[in-house]
Amino acid sequence: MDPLASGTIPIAISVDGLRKSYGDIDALRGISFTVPRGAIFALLGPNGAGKTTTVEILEGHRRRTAGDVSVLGADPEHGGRGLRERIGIVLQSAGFDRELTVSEIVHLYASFYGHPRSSDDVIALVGLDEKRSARTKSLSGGQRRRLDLALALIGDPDLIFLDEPTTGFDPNARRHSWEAIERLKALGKTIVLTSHYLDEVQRLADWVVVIADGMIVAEGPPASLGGRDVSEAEIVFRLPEGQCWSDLPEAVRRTASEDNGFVVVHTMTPTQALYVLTAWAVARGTELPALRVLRASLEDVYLELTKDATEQP
Amino acid sequence: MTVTIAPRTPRRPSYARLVLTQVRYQTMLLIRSPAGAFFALVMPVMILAALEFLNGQGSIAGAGAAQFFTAAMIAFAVMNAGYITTITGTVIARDDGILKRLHGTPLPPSAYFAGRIGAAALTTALAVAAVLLVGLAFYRIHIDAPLIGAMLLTVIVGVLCFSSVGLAATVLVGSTDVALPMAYGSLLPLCFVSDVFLPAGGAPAWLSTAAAVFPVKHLADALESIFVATPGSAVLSGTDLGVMIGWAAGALAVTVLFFQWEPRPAGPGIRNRLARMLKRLHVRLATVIFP
Repeated sequence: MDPLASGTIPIAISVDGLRKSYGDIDALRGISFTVPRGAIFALLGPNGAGKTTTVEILEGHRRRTAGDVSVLGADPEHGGRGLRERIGIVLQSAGFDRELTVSEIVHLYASFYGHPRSSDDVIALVGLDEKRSARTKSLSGGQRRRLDLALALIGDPDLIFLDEPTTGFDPNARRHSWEAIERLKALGKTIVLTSHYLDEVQRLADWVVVIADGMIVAEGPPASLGGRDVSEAEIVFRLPEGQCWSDLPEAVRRTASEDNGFVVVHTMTPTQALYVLTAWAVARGTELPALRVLRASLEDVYLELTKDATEQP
Repeated sequence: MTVTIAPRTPRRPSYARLVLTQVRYQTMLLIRSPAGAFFALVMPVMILAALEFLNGQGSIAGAGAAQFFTAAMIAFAVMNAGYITTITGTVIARDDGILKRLHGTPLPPSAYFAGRIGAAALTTALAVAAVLLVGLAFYRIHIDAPLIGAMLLTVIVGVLCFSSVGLAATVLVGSTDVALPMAYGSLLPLCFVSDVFLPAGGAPAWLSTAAAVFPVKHLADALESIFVATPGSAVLSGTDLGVMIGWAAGALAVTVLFFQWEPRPAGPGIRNRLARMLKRLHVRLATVIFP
């Protein structure tokens, strides 16, 4: 499957046959994956798919019903203080003591660790310099999320869990967060990310697992998820002035259709098809207006993969 | 496939430092929050002034009314700062997800509990000092020097008892909305049947017997015996302190076994909660008996 199987890359997390039931409801129905150290690993899926349940089991917040889980070599149910010293957690939602300032709360959390990072550095890293003396109750949604990240990083963890870290951000704030996450990766940290933003996953993740209805429906690097790098491509253009359908080369015409004034060519070999097409146009001394080559986007693949999953609130 | 990663050198902050930091921050939070400061610090002094204004000229239990009311308000300050603010502060922190976040850090749970109790003690010290100062300055109360030690001991045992019971009580409190009503709803009736605000009078005997099971009466009686001391009578009964220590021990056991770190989804009533507690107790006992 990947280089992990050979055992040459150190593993940060391994999950095998993980199941979780709440009463009669099966939230996770036997999922397995591994996360190599230093990677950004993304769990992608619709609401209610089991993403948060999975990360909360890995964080030690929830007990599993069945399966084997190892996080930094420890079982998170029994990892205790030793494990919690080495992980940093951004929960999907968690509050702050309203009457403490940003600086006070970061110092408070720093006091839990033997080797904390400098509070000033962490506040600067998340871009809250100007808010360090502000009480947390006065922060905006985006600033609170950045404080979440600061508290997760203050213990200088090896492994960081980010449960929907940029939900509710404006595009600018998301870019800044992405850059912060990429800097963490550059420091050798392992990052487990849940998201339902496809561009976020596409930009950040080394490996994506798509969960729907408590099961893994696909996994791989974002660029090739669901086989979209080798799937059929579409070549789209308009017929040049003075040319008609029957003038097109026979090889192209066989797989083409007309759609709203555009010619759409479906092909598994877009390079060859383009060669034939462009040679045909050049020979006639004309252009192919509005020429584009389209691949299935991550969004197309994702929607296809999760279309059967029941949406849950 | 190897999953072993060498542990870091285990240099850790000392337990004492963790607890002291918690005490400092919890006290800061309490004093900065308007509701916390009001209930813990302002209310006992306010009620003392009101009681004095209405009844100040009389005498109660053979002493000046001010002596009795000061003892009563010291008891009330211990219960407010110990019980009420511990319940409300802890439930707010739980419902806001603050406790869940803390539970994902290396802070040992016992250091958090100790921090809460320590902060309650510090706040109580401030509240008791305020009551004493107002009493000394405006109502000419007196306290015999040899009894100061007994008063301090009573206050310390009292705050340990009431803050521990407050921590344990959070298990039964469903949400922030009901925290304050449940806290005062359980405390005030006990205060009245325990003769905290008025001296023992015409209450039926069975009610006094029932009240003696709870720590409120013992805190009030212990303080009353110090401030309204009659010559020759014993100050500080072992029973009063013993009952409070017993409640503290029981409450801490409940806290360690059942304390909840996560916000509770709306819903289950007290009966369901008790059923869940029993189930958890069963699981805990099973893991102790069959490790």
